[in-house]
Amino acid sequence: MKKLMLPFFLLMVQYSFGQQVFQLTPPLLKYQSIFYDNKALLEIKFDQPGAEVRYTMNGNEPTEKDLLYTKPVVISGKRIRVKAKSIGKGFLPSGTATVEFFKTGKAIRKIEFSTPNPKYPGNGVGTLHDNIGGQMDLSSGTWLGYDTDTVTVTIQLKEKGSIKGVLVDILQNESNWIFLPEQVLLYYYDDTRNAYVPAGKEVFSSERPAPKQCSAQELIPNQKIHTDNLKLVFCPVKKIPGWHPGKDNHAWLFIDEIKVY
Amino acid sequence: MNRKQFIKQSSSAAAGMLFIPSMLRNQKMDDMILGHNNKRYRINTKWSQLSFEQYPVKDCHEMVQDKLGRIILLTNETKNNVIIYDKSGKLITTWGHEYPGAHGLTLFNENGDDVLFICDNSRHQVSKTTVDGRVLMTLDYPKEIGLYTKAEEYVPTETAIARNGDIYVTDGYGKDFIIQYDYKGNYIRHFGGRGDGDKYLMNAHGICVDYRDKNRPCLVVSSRQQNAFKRFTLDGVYIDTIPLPGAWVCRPVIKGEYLYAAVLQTQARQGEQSGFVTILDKNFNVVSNLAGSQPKYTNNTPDEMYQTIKVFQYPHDVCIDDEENLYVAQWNSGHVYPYKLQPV
Repeated sequence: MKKLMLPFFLLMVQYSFGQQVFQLTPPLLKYQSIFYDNKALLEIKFDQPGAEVRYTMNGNEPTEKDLLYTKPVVISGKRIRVKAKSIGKGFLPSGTATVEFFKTGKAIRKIEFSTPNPKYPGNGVGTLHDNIGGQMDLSSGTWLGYDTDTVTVTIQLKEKGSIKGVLVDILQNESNWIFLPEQVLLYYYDDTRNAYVPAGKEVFSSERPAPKQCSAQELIPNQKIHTDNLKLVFCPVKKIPGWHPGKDNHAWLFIDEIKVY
Repeated sequence: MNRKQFIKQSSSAAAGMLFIPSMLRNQKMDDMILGHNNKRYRINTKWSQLSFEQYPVKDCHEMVQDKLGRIILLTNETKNNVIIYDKSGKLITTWGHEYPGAHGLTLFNENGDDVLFICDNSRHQVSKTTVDGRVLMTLDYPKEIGLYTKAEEYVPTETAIARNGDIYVTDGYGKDFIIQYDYKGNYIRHFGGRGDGDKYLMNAHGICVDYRDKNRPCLVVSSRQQNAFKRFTLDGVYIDTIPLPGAWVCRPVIKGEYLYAAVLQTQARQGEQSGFVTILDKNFNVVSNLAGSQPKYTNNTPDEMYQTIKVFQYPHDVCIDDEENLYVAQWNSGHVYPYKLQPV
């Protein structure tokens, strides 16, 4: 029913005024990275006479009563989701542009990862903990791209500590065959057993199309963990589902940053 | 629900709604004007008066106007590859069933007669025809340059014809070379080719000959993936690059003092139906973006450009008629017929 509302509204407006009403495009969100030590700066671009940008930082859908964008927004705090819309008289409001920012977590000594496809090598050995990430452009040079069946990442922290969550930034860009993995498994290294021990997993479904986005996923351990050594195992989609033009082909997995909290 | 029922239901529902949106009615809504500065237009999305059942289109790739004032559309629908309209959107005639990859359409007045050049992506060929479709010449893949081993590597997207009849073909979906022939189709030279250096091209999608500076005519070539036009002399020497950040520019079309181009999509919103139309003055400064951001310059370079209004999906070409009206043909946009825009 919700899906019917927009075309219906369009029709209603068109019949009332005898002219076509168009929808605005969501504003462009510009930032260096969605990860930061102290603060990040968000610039919002939308230069259309008669229209303005309204945004929220509390997760709500922006309305014309929300914050009016006038100058770059300073982002601080652990995890901030910004949503912005273009709104203007005589236009239908745009869809919502969303970005989520993350403060850096525990100090990381080293992250090792499976060899990516040579076309998407990221930006060097530190690529998963350089605080640079969250650009939707898959050729931005920050993404590690994989078209293999499994991808393993080991994380060495600088100090032992209790682990509340492990966050990984994953690109969803299904028109370019880049999907969330089927699942991600979390392990921690148990010194007493000299082995990695399962500590949680996330399962994702690709049965329905998803919008293009940076999808930061936080794995919460299913037990109390005190460690300096973690492992993530990703299982990329091996067969793209039937609704997609690339049906039955191997999907890609793109990751660009890992944070431990 | 079939189409007839849908229309019936929605119009009766809409009639009922006439009394409801009083809040909306209080707003004074002027006609929406697209564009900036002295290049502003009113849009008519219902210009084409064709029935889709009778005259279907797939991608509407390119349009030109002939000397009789008729608007000629090229589509890769083989039921009617060429649709000829009058300026009011009424059908004059159609022809063509043999161009499954019909992509580029260029008109040249050859000693008083209009001729067409059609680039076909699927046939890997360029065909020169009369305006009613009789084939006059065919150019196959350029074996003679030794850089192609088979026809499939050559995917021509556009031609431009110089006043002396020289033919320039851009291999925009192949190896990005520009191949220059004389009017008889004899190979002269090639230049460009895929690469990101100055004189190379990334998706040489379109080309035109620019005679606005009488003393220095040049070629303007799209390097679409690089969001730029590149200029070359008529004998293929690189001149300079005109950066158009954010804009996937299709072919340049020159009319009077201005250069017009469909922008297939916004760099920051790829795959999201984010196209618009851009207009540059004779100094290659952007003066107007139709359904796009207001042109602004920082240090002589345009600021990043992007779609602002969802008027177009994937505009693929523009045609400017003898009365300065603009027509926009679109690729992969739900089989829509061209839109017409009138200057205000």
